[in-house]
Amino acid sequence: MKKILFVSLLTLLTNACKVENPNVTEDVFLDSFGSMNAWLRGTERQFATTLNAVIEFTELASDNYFNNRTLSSKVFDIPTILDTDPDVNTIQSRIHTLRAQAEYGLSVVATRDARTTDAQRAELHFYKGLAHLLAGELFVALPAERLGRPLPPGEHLNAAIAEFEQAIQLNGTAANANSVGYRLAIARAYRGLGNKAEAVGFARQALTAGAGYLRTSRYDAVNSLRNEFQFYIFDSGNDEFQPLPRLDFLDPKYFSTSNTDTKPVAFLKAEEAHLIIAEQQLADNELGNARQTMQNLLILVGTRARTSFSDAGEDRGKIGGNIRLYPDSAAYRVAASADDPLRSGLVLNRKSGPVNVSTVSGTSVTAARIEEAAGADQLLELLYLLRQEVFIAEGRRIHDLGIRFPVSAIERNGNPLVESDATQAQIPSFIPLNFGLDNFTLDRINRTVVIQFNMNRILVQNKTSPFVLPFH
Amino acid sequence: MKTRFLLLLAAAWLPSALLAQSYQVTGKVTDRATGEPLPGVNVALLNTTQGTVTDVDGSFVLPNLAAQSYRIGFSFIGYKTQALVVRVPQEGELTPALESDVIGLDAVVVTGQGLEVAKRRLSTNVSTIGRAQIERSPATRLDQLLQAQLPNAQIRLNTSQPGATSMIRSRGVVSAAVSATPVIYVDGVRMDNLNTAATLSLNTSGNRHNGDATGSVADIPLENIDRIEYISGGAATTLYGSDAANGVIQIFTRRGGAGTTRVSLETNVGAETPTTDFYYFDRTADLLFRDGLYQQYRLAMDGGNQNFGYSFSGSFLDTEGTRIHRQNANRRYDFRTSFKAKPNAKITYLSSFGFSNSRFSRVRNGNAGGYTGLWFAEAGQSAPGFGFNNRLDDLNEEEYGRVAEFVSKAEALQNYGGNTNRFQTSQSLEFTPLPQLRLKGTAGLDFRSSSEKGIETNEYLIHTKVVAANTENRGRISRYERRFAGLTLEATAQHTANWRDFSFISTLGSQLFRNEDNQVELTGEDLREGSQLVSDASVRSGRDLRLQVVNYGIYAQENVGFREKYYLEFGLRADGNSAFGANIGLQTYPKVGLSYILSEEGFMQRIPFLSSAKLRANYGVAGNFPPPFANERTTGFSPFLNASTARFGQYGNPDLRPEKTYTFEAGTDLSLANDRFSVGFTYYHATTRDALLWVPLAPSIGEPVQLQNVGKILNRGVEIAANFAVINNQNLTLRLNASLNTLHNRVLSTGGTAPFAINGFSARTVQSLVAEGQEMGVIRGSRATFGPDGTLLESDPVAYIANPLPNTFGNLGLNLAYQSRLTFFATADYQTGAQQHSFDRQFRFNHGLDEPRVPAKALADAGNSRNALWLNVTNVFVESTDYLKVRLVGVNYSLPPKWHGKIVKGIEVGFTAVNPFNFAASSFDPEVDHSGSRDPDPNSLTGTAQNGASVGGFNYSTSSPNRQWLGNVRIRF
Repeated sequence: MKKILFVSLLTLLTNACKVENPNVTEDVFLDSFGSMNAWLRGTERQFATTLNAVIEFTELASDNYFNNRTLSSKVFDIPTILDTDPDVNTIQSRIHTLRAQAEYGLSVVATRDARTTDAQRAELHFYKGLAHLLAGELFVALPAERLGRPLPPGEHLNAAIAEFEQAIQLNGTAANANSVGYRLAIARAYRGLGNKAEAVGFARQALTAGAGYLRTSRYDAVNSLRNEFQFYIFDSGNDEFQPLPRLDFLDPKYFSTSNTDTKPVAFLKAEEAHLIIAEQQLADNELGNARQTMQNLLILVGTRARTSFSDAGEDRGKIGGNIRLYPDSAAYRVAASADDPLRSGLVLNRKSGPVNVSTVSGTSVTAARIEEAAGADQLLELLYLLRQEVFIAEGRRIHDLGIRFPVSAIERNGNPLVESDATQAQIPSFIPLNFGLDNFTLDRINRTVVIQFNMNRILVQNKTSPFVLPFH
Repeated sequence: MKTRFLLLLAAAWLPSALLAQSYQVTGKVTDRATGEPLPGVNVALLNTTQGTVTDVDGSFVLPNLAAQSYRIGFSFIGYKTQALVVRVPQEGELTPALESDVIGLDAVVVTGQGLEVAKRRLSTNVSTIGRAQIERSPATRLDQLLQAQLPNAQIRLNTSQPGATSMIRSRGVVSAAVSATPVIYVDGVRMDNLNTAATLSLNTSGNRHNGDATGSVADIPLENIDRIEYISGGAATTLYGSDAANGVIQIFTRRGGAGTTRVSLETNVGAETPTTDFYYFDRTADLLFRDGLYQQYRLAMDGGNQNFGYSFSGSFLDTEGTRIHRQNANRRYDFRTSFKAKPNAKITYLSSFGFSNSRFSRVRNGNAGGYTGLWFAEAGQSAPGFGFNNRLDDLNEEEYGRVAEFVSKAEALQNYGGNTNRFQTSQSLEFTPLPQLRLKGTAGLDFRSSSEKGIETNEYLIHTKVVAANTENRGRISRYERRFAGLTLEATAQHTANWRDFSFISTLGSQLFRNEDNQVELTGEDLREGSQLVSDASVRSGRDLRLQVVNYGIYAQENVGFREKYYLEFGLRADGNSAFGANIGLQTYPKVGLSYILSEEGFMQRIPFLSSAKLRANYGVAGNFPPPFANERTTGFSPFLNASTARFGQYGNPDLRPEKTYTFEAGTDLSLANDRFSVGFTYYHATTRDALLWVPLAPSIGEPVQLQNVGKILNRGVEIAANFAVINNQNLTLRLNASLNTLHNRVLSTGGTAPFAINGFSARTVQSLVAEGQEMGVIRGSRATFGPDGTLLESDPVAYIANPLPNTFGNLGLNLAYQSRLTFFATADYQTGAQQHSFDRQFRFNHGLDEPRVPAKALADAGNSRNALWLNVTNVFVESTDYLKVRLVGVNYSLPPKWHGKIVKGIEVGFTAVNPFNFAASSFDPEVDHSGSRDPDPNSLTGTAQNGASVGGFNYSTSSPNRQWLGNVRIRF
């Protein structure tokens, strides 16, 4: 009896003291079957997460979108960009996590999972390169390793190129469709460095290998990784982000027809190669060639998908509250600045039937406008308008505007190698402040909109600035 | 062995009267001041294990006594213990009259001591709430019951929605990672005290479930409570080790009466009305609220004899709530049954079972977005979101009719709610082999199962303009299931000894508790109209979560008395816990204290007005263990595109250990003028070292946060509680009580960690932070400075603009009794020195409504763009939240016996008003402070920190706790 009692009590106590962590510890994961498959998919997911933050915050900091409500950043539109801003920290955290995840895959997972293939290694190098590419395009400086010295953009772009080249070495044959993207990414990095020859060389390689190449970042609404920008421009019933009125016809690039519909985001596409080549041609005053390249680009853009859907829930602001009103009918004509002509066709009717919007690339630039443009600067302005329109909602515009985010205060607190100049944002002096990037006047009687600043013209006027137009 | 045991058992049950010639002692115990009989008084034969309790008439019988002298002790909460020497056989009846004991030097307490110890021996303060106080409150949840009753604690119900979380805190906020809610025990068994949203739970209030999450404190079964003890931390809680830095609440249930069976029936019926004092628009009340019916019925019975007692109490509650379309209705069943058996003089078996079932409805509140009733009305959102004129009071009847019609439908179409089932049991065996040695073993379980669901139909989404008209595939459903099982095992031995002028109480014990928390979320998209099942949705998904923690500890305590006036206590607890890091072994918690009964000194007894005086001082340590599994490094998985994907999981920390609060306190308890006036004064100084912080790692590390023991938090203040018997005679007594507590809180160090948010909204609007050198939960937002003409001179976007913690708080109470038949009572609580931010007000400004606090010049300079200005002037919307709230006002009348005959033993009728009066410095309700907690770990499933720290501080479209006007009848048989 005593023994039974004692044993029962001991068993009860022993069992009561046991806990079992239902999560997977690191060693268990590394020894599990197919760990590289899971890790590579996780890295792709991390890239999608990173792109979400990049697009949400950089589109606001540019002239593309304005936050007309209260969610998301209320200061990037100004633009006020402080190292203490958690949103600044969020973007770089995600970029660093992407880098760390790719590195861990290459240095740890690949060595533990004997089934790791070169194609998988190539993709990990590619994602690591993308982390460097985003760091080099968007930040004044960022560390490239745990608590490392913040590197200037050029070093990141070179590091990106090195990673993309390793990807090509491992899996760069024509049979691998991704290898077009590796080359396109190198071209993009060389453009950032201002290296015309290499940029154009890789751009042409990419076009040869895939004239209509498109690589997208995928999302998964069922599993809580949505295209966040889609929420702000379409899914939210509150019309959160509003496009600059002259870009109205391109909005929303992402939309949904059900609760689980979340759209992919293009991050490498053949249009980029044409834009790089044309920019080099304009820089070298090859105006005829540039016109031809831009016309080729229009042809490619014309082949991209357009979709009809209802956007009747979009109000473009409301009367009565304190939400800025935007033009909401095709009757509006929009001028890119007070010095520009009023143009029709830039604003869509949204209440009277489905809209027809480009989901990859769209533009208001026509073959005629390219032909009519007089001189290199007018063509250059058109080229930057093309870049803005083709890349809208892809997080590319602030790089063209020369705006760069600083190293965050949280990094500075934990990393003694961060010096104070790296914690200041780069906002070139020609960037208008006090919401100037998004400002316009709306005449509801005459149905006209005049945008305050034509940033594409201002960019061309400042083409020799070290912050913008890398080929000039 | 088996035969011997059976014989022993049989012998124990044989009536001892058969074995020897025996006598009995009878008597009746009364209140000395009023002459009224006192039921429930403990009557003990001192130096033996024999005793009983008085019945409803104050009578008692002690049978089976031999012919000799006995010392009989009479003890009862709130009265001074009395001892009488009786010669058996007894002549006549004993009629002890007990004197009320304001300080309670001889009252015994259990919480924090292992087993019963008289308060005079303690160097710490224990608050006790007796049955009388409990019975007069119509509260249906523990936190509401304790509101304005615990002199040193602040308790707030953050919303009128049923079953929701609350805020309970006393000595400031000792942790930046763990909720301030004390641990709660029922009959020695640890309860699930989750007072924040669970990680996977219904969210009807938006960002981090601020305010309207379902909590576990709300559904602790409340039936049959005998008394509640509360200790607020420091040395008093040291014996609870790694679990008690926030203090301990312990509920003791009735274990059965003595004498004949007593039955009582009780009903509370009345109206619930919305608290609309603070609404900006007069019409908000009409738009969203209606008076509701409140009804509660209770049946209780108990009885027994010297060796066996039983007790049962069950109640049914039905409230309609005050929201239109009865969207806050609550129906609840509660019961508890308890037994006490004493098979022989040495063994006592105690058992209690409690059960509650609660079913409630919810509506969208706070920051839920889209259509949210109060946001729509009070924050001016009806204009930008829905195209109405948002000046509700200026609308003509036709315009208002359209708004009301829209709102009525939007409210009616909401379908949120939940239900919980909770079962508790405590089983104890006491063994007293010798009069001076007691052993007690307790085992118990708290099992709580909660289900919540939210359904948003296409019709609702279309009506509230979330989706376009004619949409047919956006309906959605979410369901949440949480199962909590908590096991407690405790064994304690207490030895008492006397040697010359010394007395010793030695305690040795061990305790183990284990909590298991399983959560499941199921969601479905494209739900057909009318369905309430995830199964009917076309796209279904799920998530789950499991948390387990085990804490095991041993403790020893010695309490040495000298001449009944000097006491020294010291003790130590050592704990192991599954949430500690691999490098961390047992954690120890010491305490030491002195108690000095000054009034026992001869020279003090000559002071005519001094009734009793006690000085006390102590130093002790108590802890909070880290959240489960935060110690282990893991790989995380996020499903993506129909395949498993791996990522960095939790960073882990092999050095993770509990945060420890080191408290020094000193105080005195004085009673003057024959106990007419008493006051307790305590100074405390509590420093939390190794405070747990979710440290954001430098981004370049590539992983987001790590839980580290790097913080240091200070709380210090004084606690004063006073009672004053203004009138005290046979016919009339008037007692007043008041408490005053001060609080100085500082985050002394965050170990270099940058400020991080524990509550609030986006970093660009307004957040509550942990920041070095600031008060816990300091509110950060933009601070505007204006010139004399109203020009905006500067706006600092990251300024500290408000402190939500009060620097003074306390309670007030009044009790007026006429001939012990007619009683009038009132309780209130107050605070000063705190501030809150009003997001409703800031929204109103942004949405075009009048706001005198923003200078017209600043608005004109901003081109009359409120959108450009509103987030640069956040400090303008901070208000002082000094308040005084009257919680209870009531009157009870006990009918004279001639009115009800003999079968009925008593009839009491009463009327109680709950929350009748509010006085506040702020334009909003300061009690409704949106105190959800957010998870700093971006990898967390939902961003909600389960059991995380929060201090509230935000007014945001949340309804105030209701008023209740209740008639009460209690009939005793």
